[in-house]
Amino acid sequence: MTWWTWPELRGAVLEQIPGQLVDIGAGGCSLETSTRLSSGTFGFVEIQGADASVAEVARVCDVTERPGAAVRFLVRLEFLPIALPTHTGVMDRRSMTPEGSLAAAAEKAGSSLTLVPRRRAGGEVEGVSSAHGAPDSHGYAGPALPVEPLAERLKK
Amino acid sequence: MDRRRHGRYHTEGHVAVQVLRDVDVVRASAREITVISGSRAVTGSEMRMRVTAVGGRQATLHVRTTGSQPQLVGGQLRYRLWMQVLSQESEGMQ
Repeated sequence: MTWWTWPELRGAVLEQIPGQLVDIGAGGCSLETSTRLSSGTFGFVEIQGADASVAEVARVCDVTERPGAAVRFLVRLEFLPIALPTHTGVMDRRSMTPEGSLAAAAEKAGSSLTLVPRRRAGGEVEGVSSAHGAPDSHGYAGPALPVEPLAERLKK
Repeated sequence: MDRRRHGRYHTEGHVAVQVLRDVDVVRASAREITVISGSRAVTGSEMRMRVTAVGGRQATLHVRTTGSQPQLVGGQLRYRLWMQVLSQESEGMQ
């Protein structure tokens, strides 16, 4: 309990960004905000709707500045295949899905979220899941499919 | 240019986005921490701060901004933030 005595201490502030969700898919979402963000910034997205809750680790991949607009920035965020750490929630996490993944939210998401059937190599439909389970998408894979580290996937 | 005319998801529920902003720790004690940040903070605002050290040790703090002052660091505008440590939420290894 003496963190202040640790050598080479580094810090990161978790800052809440006010904004309006514009669009969302299984791989990411876009947001209108007045806060300037830079590409590559990491963060957490939590969305609680009437029919679905989503909690994802995300990275800012694109920022469009719109001079003169009421809300100045359009920010696109990419969901990352990283488990959401504890103590990051700003909302009541008891109402969230167990893993905070879109796949786990599929049942109650209905048509609100873009969910795609996952196919085996032969083209056989394995079951309905979020696009996170697809090999060419970002996100969580199902338990039957081992998750390949992001660094390994980026090498290909 | 986005080809889609309509959004695929509409929610009247709550949307929260949090981002991690790296800060340089200047001084730290059990009750106060001073950092240099790339963005200013409103005095009185409360936030979470994650501190890490060599070896993977990390702690999450609940802090309140008590002061914010712009200053030039290496020719770039930065902000010196004084923060009061309200509580420590967790501590562990990465």
